[in-house]
Amino acid sequence: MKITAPISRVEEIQLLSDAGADEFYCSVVPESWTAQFQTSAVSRRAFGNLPSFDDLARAIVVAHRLGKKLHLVMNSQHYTGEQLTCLLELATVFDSLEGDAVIVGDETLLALLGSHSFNFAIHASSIASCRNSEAAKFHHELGADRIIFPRNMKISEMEKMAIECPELEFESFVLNDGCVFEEGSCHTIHLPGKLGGAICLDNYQSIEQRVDGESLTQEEQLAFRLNDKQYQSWVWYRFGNGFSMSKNGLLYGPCGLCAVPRLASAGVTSVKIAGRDAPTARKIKSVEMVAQVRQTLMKSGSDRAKILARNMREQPKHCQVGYMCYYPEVRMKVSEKSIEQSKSAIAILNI
Amino acid sequence: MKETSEILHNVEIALTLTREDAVEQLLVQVKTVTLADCIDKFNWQDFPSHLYSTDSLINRIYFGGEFCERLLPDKKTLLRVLSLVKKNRLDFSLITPIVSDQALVRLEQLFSILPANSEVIVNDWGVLRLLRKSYSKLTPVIGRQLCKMIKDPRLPSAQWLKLYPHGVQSGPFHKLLAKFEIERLEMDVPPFAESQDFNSPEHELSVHQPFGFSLKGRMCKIGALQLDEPRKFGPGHGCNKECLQYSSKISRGCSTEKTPSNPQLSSQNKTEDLKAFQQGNTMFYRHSPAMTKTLAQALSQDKVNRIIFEGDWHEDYRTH
Repeated sequence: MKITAPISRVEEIQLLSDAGADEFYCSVVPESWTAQFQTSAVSRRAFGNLPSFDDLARAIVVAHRLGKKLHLVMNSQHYTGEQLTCLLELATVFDSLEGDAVIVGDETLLALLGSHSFNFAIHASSIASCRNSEAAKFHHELGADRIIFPRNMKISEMEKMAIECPELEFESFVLNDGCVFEEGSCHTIHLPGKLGGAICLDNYQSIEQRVDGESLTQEEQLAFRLNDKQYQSWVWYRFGNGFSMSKNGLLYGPCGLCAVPRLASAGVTSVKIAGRDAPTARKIKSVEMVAQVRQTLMKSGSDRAKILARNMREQPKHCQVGYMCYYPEVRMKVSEKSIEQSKSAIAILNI
Repeated sequence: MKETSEILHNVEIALTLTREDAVEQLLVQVKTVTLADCIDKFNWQDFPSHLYSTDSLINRIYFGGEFCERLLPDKKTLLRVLSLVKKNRLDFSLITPIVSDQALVRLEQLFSILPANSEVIVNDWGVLRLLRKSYSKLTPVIGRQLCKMIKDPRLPSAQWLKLYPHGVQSGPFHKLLAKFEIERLEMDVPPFAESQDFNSPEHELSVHQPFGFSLKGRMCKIGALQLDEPRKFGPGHGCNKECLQYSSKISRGCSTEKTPSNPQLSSQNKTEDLKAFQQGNTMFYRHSPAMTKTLAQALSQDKVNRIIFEGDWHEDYRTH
């Protein structure tokens, strides 16, 4: 299983390779793009892009010299016809530089790239919301070689897709950024903070009401209040435990470290570390954490790897809550009592 | 623009319903269904009767789950709904969400009982593939979740949309649709919509009214209401379909600066947030009067030939 890491500067490749990364992904915003479209939205990131084609060329050379691969991100949800033409030119440059893969979120762009005879592979971004076998085959038929699973999937669903689509590679998130909503179904803008920021962190207040027109009972009001409190706690975990670090200097944020053994056996080709625009130190720490779990899995087996993953931050309570997990089903231990209580409501598959 | 009585003259009028009860509420008692019946039965507020005649007849029923696979009907429910729809001589569309493999199996059961030429509104490319591969007698329509565009209810001005223009009109997008022999697609009315947003020379266009959706989650806050804490908010968590019992009015607090100093923002276009609500896992916005008018213009200009009214999936719906 490979480790796929983000870079925003060429110098990071050597550092992350030393930490254990096998593949790198980056974005670049051509000057012509900014001049023509007055936006940096080639890949949904205003920051954390390589500044020029020269850097892209260097990144490919450095990665290849280390025996690693470099992927280029073009994963906005949608592009205009003019932007697609420009992206086709960018893809042509990337191909001539012998880049390894492009990451695409828009099916129109995927179809366009797939209809050309480029040498690079095409990865369908998590933005493509590809979470069933038919969707995986659809993307494959348009030209995708790898599916990057969206963040909010169960491992059993990934396993099924990997079995149904042996011709495809699959990539799963393992560390860092989390979305509250489905990333491929979020049509909002991460506004500047003073305008509200990301909508999932904005100051929305809700007032619940019954559709039968009756007032909420006291019990219902209490249940909503408790649910809201737990939801706020979950959102806090989604965003890196309030953007903090553990006492031993490791990062928080959505995490799938203890699921690495299961992802490996599910046939996942690579695990992805999110955060192109994160500081270099954070990227290095992230790769080291995943690499340690992978190494332990290979040397000492799945149980040891899971124990290491859960104890790494020396904060077991955060793992125990489950809100920090990409794949909480791996962590869950369910009592007979709680199964009984929630039998009608919960699909307890996977546990 | 055409007269009020004329705007919907050559336009197909569809009605989306999610609850079987709502279908019964409308179709059991009424012989010919008008917009006025819907206003009455589904508690529609602020209907733009200055633009659309309330005597206009409903032609088509959309039924299913657009945003959550847990809301897809079972076979028996669908058969009952189909029977009512047929009795009322209405056309039918099954509306479907983004799905897991598990839900694909359920969808196949539903597809197998749909009459030939029924429409299926697809919001998942995998569902489209399945239809084209195995159900050639059904007609897929590209749903609004696959016609992606920025629909943030908070945008202070139209300038922001120019940074992220949509590709619904792009040639390559229509080429992709043509490859799958798609004839019709659906759109929301985006904030600050202009008439040209509805140009679709190569495909027939349906537009939703009066709500657009901004975003949806797989995690459902209200669906987690009755779950034990460790099970809340996980991928594909179960629920008791609380979204059928409750809705949430949502609005932002006063912490957001309403007079931004960013010079990019034209004060001329600056506006308040669109009115929003959350129903189940999805956040919706209500069209502003300007957006409503723009859609009516597009209908008048024959750019849009189907309007889809939201029936029971909104904050004002009442079960009695």
